[in-house]
Order: sequence, then C-alpha cells, then structure tokens
Amino acid sequence: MSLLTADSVSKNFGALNALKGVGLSLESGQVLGVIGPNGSGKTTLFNVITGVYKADGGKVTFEGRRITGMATHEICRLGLVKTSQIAKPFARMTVLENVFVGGLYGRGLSLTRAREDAYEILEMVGLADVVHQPSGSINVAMRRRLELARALACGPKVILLDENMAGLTPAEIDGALELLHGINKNGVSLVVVEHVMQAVMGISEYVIVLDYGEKIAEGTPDEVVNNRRVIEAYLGEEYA
Amino acid sequence: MSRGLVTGLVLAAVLAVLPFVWPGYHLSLLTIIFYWIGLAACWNLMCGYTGYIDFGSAAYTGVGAYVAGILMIRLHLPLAVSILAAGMGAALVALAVGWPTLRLRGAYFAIATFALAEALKQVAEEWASLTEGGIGMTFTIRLDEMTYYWLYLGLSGLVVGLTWWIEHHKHGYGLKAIHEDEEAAAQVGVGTHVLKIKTYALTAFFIGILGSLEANRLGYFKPDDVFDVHITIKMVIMSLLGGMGTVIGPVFGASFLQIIEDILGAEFINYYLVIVGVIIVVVIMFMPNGVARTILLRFKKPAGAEK
Repeated sequence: MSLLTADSVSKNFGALNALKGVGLSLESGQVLGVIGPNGSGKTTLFNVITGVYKADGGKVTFEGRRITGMATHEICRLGLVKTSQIAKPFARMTVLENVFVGGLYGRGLSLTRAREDAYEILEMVGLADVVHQPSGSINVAMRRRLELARALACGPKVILLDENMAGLTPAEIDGALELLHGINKNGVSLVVVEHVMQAVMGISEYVIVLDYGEKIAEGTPDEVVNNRRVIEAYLGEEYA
Repeated sequence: MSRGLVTGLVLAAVLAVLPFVWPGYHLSLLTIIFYWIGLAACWNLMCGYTGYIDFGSAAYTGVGAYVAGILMIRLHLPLAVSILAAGMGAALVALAVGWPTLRLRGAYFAIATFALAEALKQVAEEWASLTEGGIGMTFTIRLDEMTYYWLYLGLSGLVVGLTWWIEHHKHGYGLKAIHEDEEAAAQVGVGTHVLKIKTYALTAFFIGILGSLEANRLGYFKPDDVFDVHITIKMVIMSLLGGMGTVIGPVFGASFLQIIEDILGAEFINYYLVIVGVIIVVVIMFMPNGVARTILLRFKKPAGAEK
C-alpha cells in the first residue's frame, strides 16, 4: 500500500483550473520528483495535499487514511510535513527556537526534549554554529536548511519539499542533495518539487511532470527527459 | 530563577501593605494604576503576542459590568458570584466572536472587534428593560477601597505572572510563531485557530472581571462608560508604550501613562492630552519596540545567553 496517494485532485481559483485531476503515489522510503514549468500547479498540489487549500475534487490519503479536508496542523502531526517555497523562518525567534516549535507542536514533545531534539537536528543539517542567532539574520542557504530542520523537528514520515534548493549555488545544491539523501536513508520519504533539473533528477527515483495543472508524463528520470510532451512543455513544440 | 521569585514576593508584599503607608488620594491612584496594568496585560497577552489587534476590548469591560450589574442589582446574587459570572460572560462572548473573526487577518480583525464593541453598546442602550438603558445602573453593595486595591493588585499580578509563564512554555512559542507567520506555524503543527481563540477567551475572562469590579468600585455605570472606546485605546497605547509582546511592557506602559495622566491632568487640564500625544509619538519614533523592550535589549547579554 502506498504511503501517500493523491487521486485526481483538482483545484480552481475562480476561472483558473490550477489542478485538473492530478494523481500521485508515494511508496515508503521513496523519493518522488515533481517537475513542470512555472505555473504548472506544483505548489498548488502541495498546498492541497497539506490542507493549506481545500481541494475542489479528488482525495488524498496518507497511510491509508483519508486526509482531504483536514487542517494543515493536523496533517503535520500525522507525519506529513511541507516546507515552503519562500523560506519563512519565524524571523524574530532564534534558529533554535524555530526548530523547537516544530518539536513542541509537531511531535508534542516536552520543553526539554524538544530543545535537545532541536540541537541534534541543527547539528545534523549543519546549522550548529548559528543556533542562537535570530533566524532573520542568516543567509538564504541557511534559511533553506532551517526550513528543512523545522520540518524534521515535527517527526515526519514524509516531507514535501517545495523548491528547497531555489537560489542556491551549484556547490550548495550538492550539499543540500547530500543532506536529503541522508534524511531519506533514515527512513523519511520525500516528494521534491524543484526547478533545478540537476537537483531533482539526481535524487528522484520516479518523476511526474505537470503542465497547466495536468500530469503530462511520469516515469524514471531518464524516461521523463526523453519524453516528447515534456520537451514540448519546457522548450516549445519546434524542439520536440 | 529563585532570585526572581524572591524579588517578586518581596515586591508583592511591599505593594500589598502600601495602602497602609499611603492612604487617601494615593490609594486611589494606585488602585487605578493596577486596574490598568491588569487590562493592558490582558490586551498584550492576546494582541502583543499574536499580532492580532483587538480594537474592541471595551466589549469585555462592558459585558463584565452588565453581567455583574444585572446579577447583583436585579437578582441580588452575591458580589463574588457575580464578578466570576462577569468574567465567564465576557469569555463566552469572546469565544462566539473569536470563532469567526480570528480567521480574519490584520485590519479586518481590528475593524470587526471595534464594530462589536459599538454594537454591544447599542444593545445595552436599547434593551432598557434589562439594562436600564442610558439611565445606567447603580450598585447598592460595594467593597471598601482597600479591598479593590488588593483585588486589582492580585489580578494584575496574576495576568502578568500568567504572561510570564506562557512566554516560557509551549503556548508562548505557539503564539509567537502565529505572530511571525501563521501559515508556517500551521505547517509545523501549531493549531493556530484554536490557540488564538483560547488565548482570546482567557484574556476576555480577566477583562470581564476587571471591568465588572471597576463598575462596582465606581458604584454607577451606563453604556457610554463601560463600552467606551477610550478604554480600548488606553489598553493599546499602554501596551505599545511599554512594549508589545513582552511580559513587563504593559506594567511599565500602564504605570507610566496613568501617572503622567494624573500629574498633567491636574496641572495642565487643557493641554495634557496634547502632551500625552507628543510623548506617545516620541516613544514610537525612537523606541518602536516599546520602552521596556528597548531597555531590556540594552541590558541583554549577547546572543545565546539563555541559560
């Protein structure tokens, strides 16, 4: 049985059909990539799965349980956690406190346990040196890692990463990929939305491609990059 | 920490015996100061920490006054019962109002709560068979002046203590996360809506108690007095002056503004509002985080000092 499934999910914003019956399925331990041009519905899909938006159709299940219509914080506590495309640290809290909140609420840990846990996670993602700095003062690469650390603090089974590597240098991307591999090895399944092809192709075992709110292709990374419709969507018909 | 506790206890003891040393006029000033510390601390606990600006807090002083007034004057219930009921009545109104309005962000929440307080004032005006309308209600049973002082001291101490406790526990972090970014807070498991409503109802409970006690202390009240928008404005300004989202901010802001009002109100009756206005503008320009926070930051040890 799949860990996470989305079944013909649709979402409209007024006359705009942002998602037209998109499905995905994630197995335990898997890394699933979601790619597509700007405005293809990737972020919307994540937002519908995690209850930020209410779906207009279709259903989402997690561990066999229907989660469509549940609130974001309830979904988080089940173990399905999202990171945001625009890193949103709690700017006036320290880096440690940011992660601490995840442990307190996402996992329901005690103050002491959540604090210890936060230190450990920050060590793991390489933010040990800045734990006591206000999170508004750290750079973009660090914010991305903080976003990930905060998600990890919630004790997730699945993390949905929404362009967690956007704006990073190639070297930073390599570091981030290594980190994600490590997290995945520890048993956390990942769904990765990414613009950076190098990143998503390097880590995903299976990829789905969205365009104008529809799934136009899926398969292994190799299959997908040679798919005619995918090339059309990215580069235009004349290159296909 | 234990040193802080000892300091707190000594301070409480000194404040508790103060009326014996300083009776008369000073007692009434002190009484009013602690009344306002209580109100401002309530406002700060909800609005200072979550960033939701309540512009209708006078709704709860009003509801408190009327619940207590109706129970005591019409039903002849004892004062303690009526005051407690006043708090619960205010909390119930806050629950009913908070449920829909705490989904509204920013200015919408402020406008909705402002409208609520005005609407409740109208209800109190019109429903004369219950509230005596614009004629107002008069309490026949009152406490002696000293008791009001102790009650306000105790209540404001309780709310400030509660704020301190919340600041250092799970709820405080949740509230601050809501203030920073509500969507991100939900993403890490904070049940934002319920947490806001709980906090709102809790602070309304104390505002209701304080409002009912103050109406009782003054002996007579009418809708204009207890639903007065100036009550709300004072709570906002006191929190703002002292420092929103800090434990000590409203204590500082309320004492400061009330003392200034007292001195200037006596010396410069015609100009004191102008002077108070100038002080507020200056503080906001030069200490946008409030006086308490600015001072605290100056003395705070470098980053990472927290134990």
